[in-house]
Amino acid sequence: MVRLAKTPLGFFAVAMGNQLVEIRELPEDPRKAAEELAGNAFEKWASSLRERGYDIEEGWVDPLRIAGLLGMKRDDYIRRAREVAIELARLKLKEAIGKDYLVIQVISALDDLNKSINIMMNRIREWYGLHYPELKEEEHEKYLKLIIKGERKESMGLELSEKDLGALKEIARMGLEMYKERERLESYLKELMNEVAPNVSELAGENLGARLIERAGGLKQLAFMPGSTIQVLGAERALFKHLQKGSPPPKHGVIFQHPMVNKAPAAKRGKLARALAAKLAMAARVDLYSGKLKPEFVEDWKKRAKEIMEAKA
Amino acid sequence: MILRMGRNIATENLVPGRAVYGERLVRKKGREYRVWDPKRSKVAAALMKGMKLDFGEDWLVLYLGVASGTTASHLSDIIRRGAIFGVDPAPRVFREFVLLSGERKNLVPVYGDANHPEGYAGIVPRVDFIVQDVAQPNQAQILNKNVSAFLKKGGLAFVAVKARSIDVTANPRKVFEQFKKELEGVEIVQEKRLEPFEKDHLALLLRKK
Ligand SMILES: C[S@@+](CC[C@H](N)C(=O)[O-])C[C@H]1O[C@@H](n2cnc3c(N)ncnc32)[C@H](O)[C@@H]1O
Repeated sequence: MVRLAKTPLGFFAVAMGNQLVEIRELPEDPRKAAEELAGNAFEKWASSLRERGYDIEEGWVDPLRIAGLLGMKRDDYIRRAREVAIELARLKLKEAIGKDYLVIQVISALDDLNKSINIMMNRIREWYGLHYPELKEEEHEKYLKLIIKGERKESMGLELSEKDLGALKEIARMGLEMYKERERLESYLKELMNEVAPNVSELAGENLGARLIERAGGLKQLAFMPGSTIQVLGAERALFKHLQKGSPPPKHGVIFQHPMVNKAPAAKRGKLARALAAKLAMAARVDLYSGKLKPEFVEDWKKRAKEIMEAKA
Repeated sequence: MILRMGRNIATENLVPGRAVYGERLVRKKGREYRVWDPKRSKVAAALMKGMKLDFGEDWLVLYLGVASGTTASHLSDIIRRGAIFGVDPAPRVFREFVLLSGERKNLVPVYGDANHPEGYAGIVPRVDFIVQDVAQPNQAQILNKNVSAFLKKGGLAFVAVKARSIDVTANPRKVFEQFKKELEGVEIVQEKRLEPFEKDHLALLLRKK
């Protein structure tokens, strides 16, 4: 059994807590070392060990202990750790800033995926419906699992051979994969949003927040939008119609999906959306400049929402 | 060394001539000190409120929620022969801390999230002291994880609890009691409310059992 450690001194496999059985050195130059730490060199090294038959256990080895095993003094470790850490932080910061464009790609990919899932599901339901029209299952994912399982009661549907069914099952499996991919993308989007726009995420939730960034074309764009524009983001078509044909102006765009706005009585929604839009503009500005989470935003918004809800119409 | 000067406290500047966040520099007996503002730093506020904390000059420290390093810069003055590993996930404030680390040889910047200690377990060694100031609803869990992973037996932890970031609506006293109940593997050594420097904040000094 060995434990692995990914340290600024290199990668180590440690047995019994005090034997360095494998060492993968890092470049002397802190910058180059940081690049390897930021990339996937460690994962590659770890899987090469696994291939060579090492039994790897979870668990921590103090990097300072490893330094000691290498004959390094505590101060030498600190010096090296600091040099590498500074380079590593620089590398990661470079990636962190400008990541709002990544948010736009990810939420758009989710849109594409949802569309594809719908198209696929229509096809699959029509196809399997030939064979088993009696199957009533509204939820797509469950429906797919039922196809793969292949249980079927008395049916007036068309009888299909294993071979005929096989082709359909392959497609059903692909459908399930798409659902899994959607889940992965959603959790990635959450992480990304908390890094890129923590205050917008707190106020609006990660999904709605990402949608607003996407509609605005970026975090910076969102930060400098007047509240009245944020309020109708996502309702561009209705706005266009209003300007062209004089139909009533849209009261709220995607902001309307916010649970506190959505659940409010119709008479209050416009006001709530306006208040939320104003707070979101401020939150986006803080995200842009400091990236620091300020719980005050949510508190203020909740207070304001309460006032609006309690006011006489 | 922490210097008491009338109503203020100050730390001896590790990098003479340089102020970090606009704090006042004062000279005394040929040495330069940086005034430590209790309104800007919860550790300073706790000390001014009478918390007793004997820093070791050679301590290793893990600082969770280091932000731009306002408090960490004073700890860096005090812990001259030790090191402070400062963790924060907010890119723009953390950038300031990286710059500060370039000027102070005992600061080590770790861009990361204290919810995931495994992200920095390869660089942070076992430490003598943990400071946590993250203003997050789950800060008790965050502390438990890091205490169990990195703090020596008998090591100390300073934690600033902000009632409003845990529950806006609840009575702060209840929030503090609940927070204390959630702590694992530590005993409470001292506690101080931080008024008038910070509203509805509690500072705790803990020792690992
Ligand atoms: C009140 S500020 C800290 C100020 C700093 N301690 C000082 O006195 O100079 C709170 C910091 O905690 C950080 N934070 C929030 N969640 C965190 C987490 N999960 N891990 C580490 N830091 C976090 C925020 O990014 C913010 O910079």
